[in-house]
Amino acid sequence: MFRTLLGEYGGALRRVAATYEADPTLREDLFQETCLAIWKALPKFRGESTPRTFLFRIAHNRGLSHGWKEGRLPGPLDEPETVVDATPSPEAAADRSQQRARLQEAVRQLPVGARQVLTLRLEGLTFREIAEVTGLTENNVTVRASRARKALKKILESSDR
Amino acid sequence: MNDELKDFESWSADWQSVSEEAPVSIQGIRRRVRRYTWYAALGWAINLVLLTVVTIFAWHDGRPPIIAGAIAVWGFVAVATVFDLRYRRGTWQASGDTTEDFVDLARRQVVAKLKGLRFGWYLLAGEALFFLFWIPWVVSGKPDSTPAKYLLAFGYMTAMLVAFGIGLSWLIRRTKCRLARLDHVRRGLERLDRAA
Repeated sequence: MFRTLLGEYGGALRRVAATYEADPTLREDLFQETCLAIWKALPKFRGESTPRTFLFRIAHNRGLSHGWKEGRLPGPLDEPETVVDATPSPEAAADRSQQRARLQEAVRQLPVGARQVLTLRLEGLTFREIAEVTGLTENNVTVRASRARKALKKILESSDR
Repeated sequence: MNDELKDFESWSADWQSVSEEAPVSIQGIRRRVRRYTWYAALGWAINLVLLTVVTIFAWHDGRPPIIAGAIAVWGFVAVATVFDLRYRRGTWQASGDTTEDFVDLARRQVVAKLKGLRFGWYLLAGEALFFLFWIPWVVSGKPDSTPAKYLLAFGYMTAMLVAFGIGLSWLIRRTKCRLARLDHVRRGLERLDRAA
């Protein structure tokens, strides 16, 4: 089950780790810590929530824990991301890659509460599922998501200038 | 489609296309589990070995000051353990599943650690007081005791206690920083809730 879950959600868990840690080496370390926490928690998983919400909850809590221990919460990005893109045109690839890097950078600058809700939304979770992960009410999640969107937009616009 | 949905749709496409395909190392995770288990066992083993060595040494030596020293070591370890457990009470499990519950638990753990470290100052004072009486007792019991030996023994113990004190104050400072960072995170979480 562990292998299947990581096969399915490994990419998403790495993206969650990337919102808490910009340094690639430390990020990989955080990802491994998250996998370890999942490994330990899996025997206690009784299916009361979906595996996806279960994994995201662990990943975010692990990220938080890493963030404050390293003194990186809430903090700006340390260095820009380099993301490989597979689109054919080099210009388009560069544009897209830059766009992704900017988005990741902007997300990392958000306060933790906003960052969590926003990244879960970007992973395609519904407000109800986000409420399940964070333990907030759906109403609270909606408000957080709306404010996080505005904050993200502001950061992205200011980085355009 | 409203602006909010449009934004999320366009960002989601960018966001989810970020994928690092590095394989997950199951072996690496197993190694990590083993390493953590070893670390925990090693901590206990070191304490146990130290106490055993002190006890065996005192048993073989048989002199009253050495036996008193061994009893004091056991006493200090017992007091430190009891207070450590007392301070950590209620910090083993979060009261719920939310991020706030998780942060609260982490804060309780850091506060407990800080209390334990501060208690270390009393323990240090207790040890200093004990050595003040114990060293003359040990040195005077030896047939070749000289003032230089008193000085050497006091110098050695003072250096040990100073080193312990420096380490303790460094740990307290580091823990206070961690607590301040945690409170910062908590404020970050609360900021959005005020509007909800």
